[in-house]
Amino acid sequence: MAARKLWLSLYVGATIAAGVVALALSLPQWGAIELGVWELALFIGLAGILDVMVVPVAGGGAVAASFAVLFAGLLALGAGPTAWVAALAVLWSEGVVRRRPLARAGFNASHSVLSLLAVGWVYQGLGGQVGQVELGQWRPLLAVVGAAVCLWGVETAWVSVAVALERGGRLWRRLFCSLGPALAWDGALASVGLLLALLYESRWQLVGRESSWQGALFLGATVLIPSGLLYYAYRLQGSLQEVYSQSLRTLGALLEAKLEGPGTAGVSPASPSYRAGHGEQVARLAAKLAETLELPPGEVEQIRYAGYLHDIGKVGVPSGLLGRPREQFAGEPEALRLHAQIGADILSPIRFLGPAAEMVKAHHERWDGLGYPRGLRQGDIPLGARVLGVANAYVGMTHSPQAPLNPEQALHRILQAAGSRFDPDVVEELRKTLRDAGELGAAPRGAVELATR
Amino acid sequence: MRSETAADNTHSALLRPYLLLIGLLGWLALAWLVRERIGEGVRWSLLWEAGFFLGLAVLVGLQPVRLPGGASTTVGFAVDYAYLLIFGPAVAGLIGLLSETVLLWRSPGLRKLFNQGQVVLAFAGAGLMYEGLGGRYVELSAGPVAYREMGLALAAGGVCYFTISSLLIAVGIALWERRPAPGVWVMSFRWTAPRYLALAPFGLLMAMVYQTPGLGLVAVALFLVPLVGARYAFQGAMEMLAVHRETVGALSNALEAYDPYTRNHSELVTRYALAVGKELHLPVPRMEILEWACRLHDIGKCRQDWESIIRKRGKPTEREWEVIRQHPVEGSRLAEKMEFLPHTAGEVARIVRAHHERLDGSGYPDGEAGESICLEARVLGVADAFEAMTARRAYRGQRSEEEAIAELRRCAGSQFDPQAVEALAVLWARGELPVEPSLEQLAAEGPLPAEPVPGSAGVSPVPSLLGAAGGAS
Repeated sequence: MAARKLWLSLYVGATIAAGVVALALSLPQWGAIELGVWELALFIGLAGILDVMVVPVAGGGAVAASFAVLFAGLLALGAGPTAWVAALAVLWSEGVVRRRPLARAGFNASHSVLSLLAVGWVYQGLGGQVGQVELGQWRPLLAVVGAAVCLWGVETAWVSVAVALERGGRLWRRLFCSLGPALAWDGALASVGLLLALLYESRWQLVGRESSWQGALFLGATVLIPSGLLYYAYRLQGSLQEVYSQSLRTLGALLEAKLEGPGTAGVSPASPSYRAGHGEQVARLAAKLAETLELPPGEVEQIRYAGYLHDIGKVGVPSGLLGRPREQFAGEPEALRLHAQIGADILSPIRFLGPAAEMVKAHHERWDGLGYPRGLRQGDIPLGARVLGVANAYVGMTHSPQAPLNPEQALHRILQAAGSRFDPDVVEELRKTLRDAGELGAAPRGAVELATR
Repeated sequence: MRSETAADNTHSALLRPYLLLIGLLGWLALAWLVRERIGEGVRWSLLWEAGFFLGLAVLVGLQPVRLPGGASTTVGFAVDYAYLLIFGPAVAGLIGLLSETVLLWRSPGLRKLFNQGQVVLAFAGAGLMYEGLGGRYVELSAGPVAYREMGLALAAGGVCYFTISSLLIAVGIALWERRPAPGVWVMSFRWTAPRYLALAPFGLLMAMVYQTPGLGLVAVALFLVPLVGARYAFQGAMEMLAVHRETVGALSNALEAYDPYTRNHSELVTRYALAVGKELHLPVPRMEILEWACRLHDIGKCRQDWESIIRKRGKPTEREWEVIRQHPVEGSRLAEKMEFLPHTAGEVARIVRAHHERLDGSGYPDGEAGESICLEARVLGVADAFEAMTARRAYRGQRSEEEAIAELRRCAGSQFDPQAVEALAVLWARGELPVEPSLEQLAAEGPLPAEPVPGSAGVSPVPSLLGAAGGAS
């Protein structure tokens, strides 16, 4: 841990230093172009506004809508001035709007500066002319497309590096997850940027210098309206996903309140004294395991959902059987065994939850084929269900109301059952996860607060 | 905008003449416009440019976003408005007519004719309004100063287009479904106006971008890319919303199914309340909120001791009453956590909280009275009581629908909203109330407990408390 921290601070320091040097070195480039107040205000203002519009990407981290303006700047103003615009915009959005620490804002600003200068160099290397975008011929067109692709790749890579350093995990995996979603976002914004560059060149001559505020207004609207709409749609999608997850959490907890013993009775998830219930803890642990197994983000989400709802089938089980001591390794009455199948029956009409329904159905299958309801073996059991099974057993043992085990004891028993009851790979992952989270050795049970988001 | 109703034989006799009339009027208007405006001096490049916009209109129209409640929307208005501002009503009418023809290629002829007609009439009205107020077509490229003079004309043109098109379609739907036209318009169109007109600046920008010298089509194509991106993200959001609704429905049904006293209750309440809401012409977004509130209205009862309280013989204790009176509060807290759209924050929760309030202020939990109880909550209260009285679940002192309606009417004004009660009664009289499935259907549906009744409730006592509460559950 300490070593990673040291590397992180060294890396951040070096990046900031490089950014400052690069900005200073790019100053002479300003002489080459002629910039009016309104033009500069336009670019800085747009970059500042769009830099606040940020959407998260799958591999962790987020990308900003300022991509459009920075790309336009590269084409129309050149890399040097654009780097300054970017530095100001990032310092403003990170430092002032989001109140992040100065080091972090400086780091983000520096990586923006460095990548812009690098991409500007690529653009000119490919034969692109600053201030004169020509789409009719293939050579300049290639330069424009090449610059957009480079900017997309470099920006995404920076974000992935930062996230990997901060939260661990393999870099290429994060990058791989992020590139696709970032492409849709950056692609649309690149087209806004190209439009801005084209309009900037022709419109500015048209309206003339004396009324350049009009030009700035028009160009500003042309950039802000489409990017704003795009941002709104992305945010809406993201927030709906979040609310959905929240709903499943609440419904799962309600179900527990209805089914489980007196420990949870009367305490609904809405009340302040609410404590994360079984389903929620299983969901958290299973999602954490799935993340460390480097499953794709969509599948991690499905595993989380399945965790919230894995016992929903118990609504179909006679209540006399519920609320008994959880006998993790003993046989269960036939009627209770129905709950996996019933749970899948409840969830399977919801098409979106198809994978989660499969996991719920198979979460009591065993690695050696002696589980229920179908007696699947090894690889035939969906991976999500194997993860869910391990998480369910661990949380069940450590939080059993009758005789809770401490994490070491629970892990010990799960390790014993690896290869018979549980998938050995998943069990190994559980061991690593618990070790990294500092659960082992630090004795008291409970408080398994694994940061999963 | 397009009318989307399906073929049915219950529509009004005036429908066919109406569709035919609008179609013919549209064609006549187009002929007049073409004769007046396009005669001498047609540029050949116009053909190519108009063709480009026709392609764009078709492309955008082919990808509607499904909204909750069965409607669909496109960003088509932005494109329509842009080519109206570029070419004027004659060419725009022509483009609109052709794009409707392509988009409705497989539809019945009469419907195609009507949609052609309504588009042309909308363009004609909007274009003439725009010109009458001083709008001009050639000066868009001159820069924003020109718009200070044309602002009114631009706004009026957009409003005119929306009004004509939505009214014509609303009358069509009204004749189709035999409902009053103003109600249809309020329910389906009035609330879409701001969203629709917000697309107008898009159209204006598109026209300006298009007319910037040396750019033209390339620039419009670049302008459209983020729109298409936003459309896909928006579609994803709407799918998420549908999934959310489906999930909450299925899971709250599963929660209810655990208890044979409440099985299917929310499902039926939802159907009744939505039917009443439609009868009262609630706008589509309010219907959406109402539906969520119905699905979640009893979620505050999900606590372990609920059944023992509710099924106890004799009077409940003060503490038990407290629990009962708190269920809307508890439910609204939970509903808050499950809400779905940022701009409706708190509304579903508010309805859930108020569904046991009475008009005279004697309800619970807040004792609100009259209009301060929101309309949706009053509708939900009536539907809830009606379902509780008529439920065909086993072992209940069930009443017939007539008796239930008589009881509701008796309490209308003091306990229930008279408007909502009358709407329900009218629906029942017309046979349009969505009927409850029989017990057999219920048994065949969904997961039932292996033992139908947990505990000792199998002896089927009439729950004393439910009886005492005047039928409202």
